[in-house]
Amino acid sequence: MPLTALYHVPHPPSTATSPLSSILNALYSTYSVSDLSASSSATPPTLFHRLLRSPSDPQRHLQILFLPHLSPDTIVATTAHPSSQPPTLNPNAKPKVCLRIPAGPGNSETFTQLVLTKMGTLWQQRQVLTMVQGQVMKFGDFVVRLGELRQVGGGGEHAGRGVAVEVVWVADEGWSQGDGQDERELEADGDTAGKEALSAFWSGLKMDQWKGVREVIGSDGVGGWLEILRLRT
Amino acid sequence: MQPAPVLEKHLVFKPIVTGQGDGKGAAAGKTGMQTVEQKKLQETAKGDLFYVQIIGDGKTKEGNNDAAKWSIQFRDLPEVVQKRPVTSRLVADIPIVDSDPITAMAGLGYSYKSSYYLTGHRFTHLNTSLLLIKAVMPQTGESPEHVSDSEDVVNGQLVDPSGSYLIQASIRVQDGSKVELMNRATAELMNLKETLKGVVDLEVGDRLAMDTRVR
Repeated sequence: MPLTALYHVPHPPSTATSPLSSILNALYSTYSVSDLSASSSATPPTLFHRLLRSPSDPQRHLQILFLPHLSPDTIVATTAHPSSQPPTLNPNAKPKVCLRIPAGPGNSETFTQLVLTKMGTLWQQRQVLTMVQGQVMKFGDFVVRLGELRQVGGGGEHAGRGVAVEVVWVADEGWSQGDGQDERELEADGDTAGKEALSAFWSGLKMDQWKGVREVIGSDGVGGWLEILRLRT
Repeated sequence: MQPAPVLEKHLVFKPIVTGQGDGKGAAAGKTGMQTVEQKKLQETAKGDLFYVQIIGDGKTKEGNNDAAKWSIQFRDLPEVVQKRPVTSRLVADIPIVDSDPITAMAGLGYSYKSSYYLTGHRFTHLNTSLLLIKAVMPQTGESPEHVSDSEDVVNGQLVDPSGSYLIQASIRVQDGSKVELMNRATAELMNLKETLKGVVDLEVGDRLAMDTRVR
């Protein structure tokens, strides 16, 4: 089972250049990655993400995400409803996908307009992000997608919001052979090996000069993106 | 065009409002921890709340749907009738993919309230959709996510025991702000009203009876 590590490398306001070039240089010099952006088998990443927040207490988030390399549909996710958990503010609550809407002007855009105009009492828009300069590359068992996040509107018109990096580790077939308990043990071993491999891959890039980097590793790629893109509370 | 059978299950959802309204900022007030940003958000969080429906397409005798397809249906409060002799309002129908309707709406902050079926036929004339329907109550104990087939629904209890039908003639206009489009649609509806005179008298619906706002 593939494991995904996601990183958000913030763009410090005091720095003129984006972390993107620094990360790309490290990828090419450290791992000699091969660029797949021109290949038809791998799609360079692009995304459109809206973060909304409930104005009431306890606060919740609503995220509307279009991430075509992982889902052809628009993904709508929220943190759990207060009625289903102790009513305390928990900004770290994991977002859960609650519905999927076919992409397109008549569907997902209509839905977004509906939320913004007719559910405005329940949800307030906090941030709109898009991705530019998306690239995809491969090195051994790793597929790397990355691009620069830009804020749309809200006074920060097209302001750089750092770089998002997705590293997917595709498990060696040896990890999934066997059955029953053996298979579960192998899967657990595979997860551990995958997490270690992903962490080692990122450490090898030596990105220590960039502060505030967030990391999410797991088998749920969409869930990881939803967490990493929540740049505001 | 031949009439198309209609069988829809309508699930009605109401917004869940917590910690605002009368008790606006109640939790924050208790702790004194409300930030300027939160206050600003709550200030802007004024406006109407609306009921929203999820529609499930059911199996009809003539149709051959394998499984219910769900969509979110929003109907706004009709505009105030001025010179236009028809009802106009914002409508939105958004399909959802592989999603459980109750979970989906809970995530958006809505709770399930009730359900009913609409069964009948849809006629199409030029740009006009003519819906001839009856509302039927679901069987006792039927789960909201279950959509019965047409035979079960037809034998169900009618919402209006007299057995009368509801008829609705409507045209969807892509952009309601385009006056020319609205005028053309209005003229087509008025022509249909004239054509049907003596068979059925079409009248403008009661605006407040079509009010979808939460009181």
